[in-house]
Amino acid sequence: MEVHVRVPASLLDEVKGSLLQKDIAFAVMINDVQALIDKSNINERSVQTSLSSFDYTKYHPMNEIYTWIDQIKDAHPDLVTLNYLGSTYETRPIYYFKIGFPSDKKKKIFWMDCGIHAREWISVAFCQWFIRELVERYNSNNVINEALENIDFYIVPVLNIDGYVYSWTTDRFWRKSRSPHNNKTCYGVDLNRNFDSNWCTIGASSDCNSITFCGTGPASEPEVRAVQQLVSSVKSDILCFLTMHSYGQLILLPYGYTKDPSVNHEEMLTVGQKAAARLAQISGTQYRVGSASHILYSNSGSSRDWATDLGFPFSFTFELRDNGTYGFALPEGQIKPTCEETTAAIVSIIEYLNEKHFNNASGNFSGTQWINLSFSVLIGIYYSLF
Amino acid sequence: METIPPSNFPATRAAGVAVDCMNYKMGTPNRLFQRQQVTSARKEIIAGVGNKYHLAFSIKDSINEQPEIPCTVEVLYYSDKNNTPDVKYNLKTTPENYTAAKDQDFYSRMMNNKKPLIAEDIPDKFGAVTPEMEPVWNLAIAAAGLAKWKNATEETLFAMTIIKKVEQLITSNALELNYDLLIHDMVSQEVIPWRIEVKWDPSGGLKVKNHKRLPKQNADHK
Repeated sequence: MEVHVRVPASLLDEVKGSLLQKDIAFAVMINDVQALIDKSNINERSVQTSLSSFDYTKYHPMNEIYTWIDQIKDAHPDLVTLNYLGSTYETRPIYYFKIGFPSDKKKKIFWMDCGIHAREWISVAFCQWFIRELVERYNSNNVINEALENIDFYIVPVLNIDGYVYSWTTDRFWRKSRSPHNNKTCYGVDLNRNFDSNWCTIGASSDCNSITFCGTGPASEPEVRAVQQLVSSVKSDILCFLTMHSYGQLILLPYGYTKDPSVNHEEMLTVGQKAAARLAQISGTQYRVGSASHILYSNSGSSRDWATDLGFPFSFTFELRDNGTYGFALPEGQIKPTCEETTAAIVSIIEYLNEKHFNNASGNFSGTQWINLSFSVLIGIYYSLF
Repeated sequence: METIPPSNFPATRAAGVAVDCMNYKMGTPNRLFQRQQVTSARKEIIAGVGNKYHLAFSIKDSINEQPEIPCTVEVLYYSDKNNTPDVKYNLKTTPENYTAAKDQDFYSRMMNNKKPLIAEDIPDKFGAVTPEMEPVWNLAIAAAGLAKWKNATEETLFAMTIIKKVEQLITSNALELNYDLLIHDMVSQEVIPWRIEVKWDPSGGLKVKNHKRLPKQNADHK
């Protein structure tokens, strides 16, 4: 029989002595457990202390994101609630924020999840950036300000937490979750092939060794079940479902599982194209917009297709920068421009929802129009004077 | 011949193969080309041979400030998968050798290395490449162009992900680098290890001595 024991440094000699005395064979497996723990906590960068010093232009390991999540919740109790979505396979808690002004009337929901694929770090960085836009900058953005009256944003900053951690510690290009299969001979399910939507019929694999392994059944994975449960329970209120990925610079519409258009295809295409045009205005980044099965590839079991068939009017997958030069390892220098342009795209979708669903005066007259108007009035005065 | 939507994947994947070929032939340690949006696309089904895509788009140097170059290309995927795709391209203007001085500098620096270069993980996990490693990385992307082109099918979309390891050989008349690369296939989502052995000098240009797809690695089994 083999027994593993952790011995405090102060008792080491005593334990060794008594083992030798009783003639029990032993070997030191790990010389210094603390050193190992310290090493796994190192992320080669500064540890953040307060929310105001949080650096949104860097990638953050999961322990820092957990701290950040708590800090956001504590700093904005008037606007934010932190909620438990469920547990990952490795029993890490998955959280989502509800962000919106308190209201007596029933509010609509705007869904966003990030980090369903572990290696797509820019997706996680974007969710953090966007949450800050909502909670710290709503005063300077009419569209967001108005939306927070009528809409609650449900945002999952990191869904595939086990995979995200693994991509930091072990394999930068890990994509899947971390559940073991086939007697632990292979690990992980592609969570975006595991949703209960024409499950594992196309563009997914039933082999656990594959990087697009669809799982052992529809929604077999705890992360996917947690999303399906929450989203189904509020489905009549969801206006828009966004899932953030990288890379490729694409706004993907349903479907992946068929080449047929969805019921609301035309309106989604119009809104998607408007978002891409707004995005391109920020720093010229070109996006393509269209059905996944037409502009990228066919795939089944995706959250976007699943959400579409629950009847939401808008369901998009964003594939953020870049076009493959850096791919998943997008340089940190590109976090800021990527987040700025993506925010502009998403704000244009929100603007459309504001006008369509909560049409009132302020929604129809944006800040820039006021500036343009006052500017032309000034020019008018100038010319009439001279 | 059928007109097909230029932003759909059959056209953009084929355009990618053409750009891989261009980078292999015209890329240098200081020059790489990127595709702009495909503006027109036609598909020709040639019975018994394969599918030929006729495309138009511009390419742009992604490192140096240079004008876009409009081009037309033909990419023929053979039905017989043992044949690699044929790529023909026609550039409206041929780019001048405007990186000659920088290429010469890089060449001299590498040939005068006291110890041959050995490096790993370029870029690092945060996407960072040190300035002195940029030409080494660019040369890997240009060389990977050959492997990506030769292994392309209508069901692949390759992108060079990182240099896992690069080793310089001791040579006297051309720079020789052995690369272990990871190449991502967007369609299968696999990250594939690839061995590519490269010979380059400023006047002779880039030659890939060998390129070989290696078996999949799995961090769980290390």
